[in-house]
Amino acid sequence: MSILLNAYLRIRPAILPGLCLALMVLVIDLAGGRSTDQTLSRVLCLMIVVVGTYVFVGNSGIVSFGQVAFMAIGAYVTAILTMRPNVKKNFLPDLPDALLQMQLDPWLATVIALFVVAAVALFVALPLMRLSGLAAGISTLALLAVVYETISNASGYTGGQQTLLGVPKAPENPVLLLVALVALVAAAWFQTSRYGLMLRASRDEPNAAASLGVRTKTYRIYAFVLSAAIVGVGGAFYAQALRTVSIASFYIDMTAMTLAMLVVGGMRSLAGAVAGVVVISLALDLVRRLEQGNLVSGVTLPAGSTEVLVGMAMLAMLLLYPAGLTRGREFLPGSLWPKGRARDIETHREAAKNDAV
Amino acid sequence: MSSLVQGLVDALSIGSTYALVALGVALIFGIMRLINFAYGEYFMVAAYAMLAFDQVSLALSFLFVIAAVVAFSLLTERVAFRPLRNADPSTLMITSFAVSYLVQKVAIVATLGEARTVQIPESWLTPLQFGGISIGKLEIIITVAALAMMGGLNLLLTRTALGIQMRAAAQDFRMARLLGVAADRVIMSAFAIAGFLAAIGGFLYVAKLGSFTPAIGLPILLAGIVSTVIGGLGSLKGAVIGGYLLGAIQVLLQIILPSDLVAFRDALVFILVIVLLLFKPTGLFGSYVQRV
Amino acid sequence: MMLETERLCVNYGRIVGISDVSIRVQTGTIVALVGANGAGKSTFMSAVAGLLAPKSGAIRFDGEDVGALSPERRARKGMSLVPEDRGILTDLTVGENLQLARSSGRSDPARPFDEALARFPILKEFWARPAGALSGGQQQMLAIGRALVARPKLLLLDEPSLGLAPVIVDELFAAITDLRDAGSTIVLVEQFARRAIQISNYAYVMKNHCVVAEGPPAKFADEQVLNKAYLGGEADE
Repeated sequence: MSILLNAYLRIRPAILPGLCLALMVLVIDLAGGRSTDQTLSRVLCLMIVVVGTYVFVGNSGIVSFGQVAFMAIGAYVTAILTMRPNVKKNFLPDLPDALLQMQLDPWLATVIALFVVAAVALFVALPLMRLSGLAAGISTLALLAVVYETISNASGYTGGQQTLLGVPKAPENPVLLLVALVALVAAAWFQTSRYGLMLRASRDEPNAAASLGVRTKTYRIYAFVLSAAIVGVGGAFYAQALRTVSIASFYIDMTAMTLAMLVVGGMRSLAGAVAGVVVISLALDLVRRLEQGNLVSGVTLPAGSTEVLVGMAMLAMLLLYPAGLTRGREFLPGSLWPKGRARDIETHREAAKNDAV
Repeated sequence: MSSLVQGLVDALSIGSTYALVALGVALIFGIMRLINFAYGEYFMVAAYAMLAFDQVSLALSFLFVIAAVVAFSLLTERVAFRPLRNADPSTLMITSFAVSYLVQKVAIVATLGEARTVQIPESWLTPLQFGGISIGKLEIIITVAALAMMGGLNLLLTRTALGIQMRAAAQDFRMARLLGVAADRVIMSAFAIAGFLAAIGGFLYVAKLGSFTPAIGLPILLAGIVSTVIGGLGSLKGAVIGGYLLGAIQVLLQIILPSDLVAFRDALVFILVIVLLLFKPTGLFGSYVQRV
Repeated sequence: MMLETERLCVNYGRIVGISDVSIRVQTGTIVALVGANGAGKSTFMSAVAGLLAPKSGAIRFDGEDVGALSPERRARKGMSLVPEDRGILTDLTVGENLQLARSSGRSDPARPFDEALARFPILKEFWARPAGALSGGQQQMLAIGRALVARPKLLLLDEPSLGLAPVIVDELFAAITDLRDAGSTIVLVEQFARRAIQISNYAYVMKNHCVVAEGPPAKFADEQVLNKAYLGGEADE
C-alpha cells in the first residue's frame, strides 16, 4: 500500500495534465479527419520534446537552447536504422555496410536512438555542466549550431541538406499519446526524486543549497541526460510521424517553437510545459489556416506569419507574464490550486523585487 | 611566406570582428547581466541600413548605419529589456532570444528572405603589395578600425566620469546607485556603445561579405558568445582575447584541415572550446563569479 | 527636520522587515539607532536610502516626501548611505571611488576632494591603487571619504565600526563627532550601543522590527534602562 501511495505521490504532477491531454487527444482523434491526424501526431511528438526539454530547463533553471540538437540526433538515428537498404544506398552512400543493410523495427530503432542520444548528452554534459548556469545555457546554443553544421555537412552519412524519405510510419495517435504520457510520468518521477528536489532547491536558493552540500553540477548532469533522452525519443517519433527527416527542421525555428511553448505555459512546472504545447499548437494551427487562406475568405496572411506569431507570443509572455500561464504552479489532484505553494512563489518574487530595487 | 602572412592578416581581421562582437556582448552583460542574443540582429540592422545610401555616398551610408544601429539598440533596451531589468538572468537571456527571433522573422517576411548585395568602393578590395606579398586592404581596415575602437572604449571607461560610472555599475549596481549614478543613463550608454560597436563591425563585415540575408546575425552572434565564454563572462579583456583566439583557431583549422574536413571546422572549434572549459570552467579571465 | 519617517513598514515577501518605525532627525544632530542583530536597523536604513520599497508609511527628507524616488534620486537630493558592507568598488582605484561620488552632482565643482583628503590623508597616498588592496579600516575611511565628496545633507552610517580594530574605532567615532560639529546630520546604526548613544544627540532602540525606546543620551545613562529596552518591554515608564 505504501508503495502505491509513494508511486502516486511521485507521479502526482503528471496526473491532471496527463488526463487533460489524453482527453483532448482522444476527442480530436475521434472527431478529426485525415488532415488533423497528421497535425495531431506532430503535436504529440512536440509534446514529448517539450516535456523532455522541461526536465532540464524547469528543474535546473538553466535555459537550454540546445535540446533540439538531441531531437535531431534521435530523428537521424531512427531514419538511418529504419529506412530500406536500397533507399539508403542512394541517400547515405558512405554508411558502413552493416548499417546500410540493417532495417530495424521502428520501436527497436527508437530505443537505440534513446541510448545514442543519452550517450551523446552525457559526453557533452560532463564539460558543459561544469560552467556556471548562464555560461552553460549559452554554450548549448553553440552545441545546437555544431550538431546542425555537422549533420548538414556529413552528406554521405546523413544526406546533408537533403530530405531523407521513407521513414516508416509512426504508430497510431493513441499509441503516441501513451508515449507522451510515459514521458510526463518520467518527468514527474524525476522532479519529485531526491535529485530533482535538490536541483530545484539549487535553482531557487543557490547559496543555501550549496551550503547544504547539494551537488548541483552532478544533478544538472542527470537532468540534462534524462532530458536529452526524452527529447531524443520525441525526435525519433517526429521522424516517423512526418515519415521524412530534414536537418532544416531541427534548428533555430524548432528551438524557438519549443522554448515559446515552455515560456507561454510556464517553464517551471510540468503543467506549464503541457499547457504551453497545447496553447501554442492551437494558435499555430489557426494561423497556418489563415496563411493558406482557406479559413476566412479574403484573408490571407503572408508566409512566415507562424514564425512571427511564435516570436510575438514568446516576447509578449515574457514581458507581461514571465512566469507563464501556470505561473510555475503544478496542478495536483486533491489540491487543485495549491495555495501554499502559490504564496511561497509570491514571497520569493517580492523578496527578489526588493533585492533588486 | 605570402600565404603565411595572408593567414595572419585573415586571423587578425576575423578575430577583430569577433572581438568587437564579444565586446558588445560583454559590455551589456557587465552592466545588466544580460546575455544579449539579439546582438546578432544589430548586425542585421546594420546590413539593411547599408542599403539606404548604397552607391550614393560612403560617408553618408556610414553615418546612417551608426544612427540606425544605435537607435535599434536603444529601442531593444527600452521595449524589451527595461521592463525586465529586475528579472533573473535566464529570463533576460530568453527574452533576448525572443527579440532576436522575432526581428529576424519580421525581416524575412518583409524581404521574402532574399539575399541583398551592397557595393563597396573598388579601392577597398584591391590588395596592398608589400615586396611581393599581397594583403587584402579590407582586412587591414577591419583590424585597424577594431583596434581603434577598443582603444577608444578603454579611454572612455578609464578616463571619463561616464566610464567610471559604467565600471562601477558593472561591479555593484546597487552601490553605484547609492552614490547617485543614474541607472537608466549607464544602461542606455552601454546599449548605445554596444550599438556603435555593432554598427562599425557590421558595416565592415557586410562590406567584406558583399551580400547578406536576414540570417546574417546568427553566425556572428555565435562567434561573439563563444568568444565571451572562452574569455570569461563579464571580462572585457577576456572578450577581446577570446575573439582573437577564436579567429586564430578558425583560420588555423581552415589551413591545416584536409579539404574534406573543412566543413567540420566549427564542430572542431567547439570541441576545442569544450576542452578549454574542462580545464578552466570560468574561461580565461572569468571575473563574473556565479556560485553554481 | 532633516529626516522624518512615519509608521514606516517594510516586508520581505511575507516576512516582516520593520514595522511602524517613526523616527525624527533634527538638522545638525547625530541620531543613534541601536539594537540587537536582526532588529531591523539595516532594513530601516535601506528603506530610507531607497533600496527597499516600503509597504506603507512615509519618508520625508528635508521636508519633501521621497518615498517613491529611486536611490539615485535620493542621493542627488543629498542622502548618502554607507552600507554595512561599505560598498567599496574594489575593481576601481581609490581615486575612481572618490570621483564616483561626484555622480550625485552635489560635490564642490572646484575642489571636490579637499575635505575627504584632509580628513583621511591616507586616501591621497593610495589614490591610484585599486581600492580592493586597502585594509578594512582604510576601506571604511574611503567609504566615509566618498560620502564626504558628495557633501550630503544627511549621512546614513550602517555599522561603521564593524570588523575594525578598537583603536581605529576610536578614530572613527572622533571623525563622526567632528562631522556633526561641522554641521552634518548623521544617522548612526551601531551594535556598540553605549558608544553610539554617547556621541549622539538622540537615540532610538529597535527590537523585533519596532522602535521600543527613544530619548536623549541622558535617558540611557543608566545601564538599567538600556538593558531593559534590549531585553524587552517598553522602557518609557
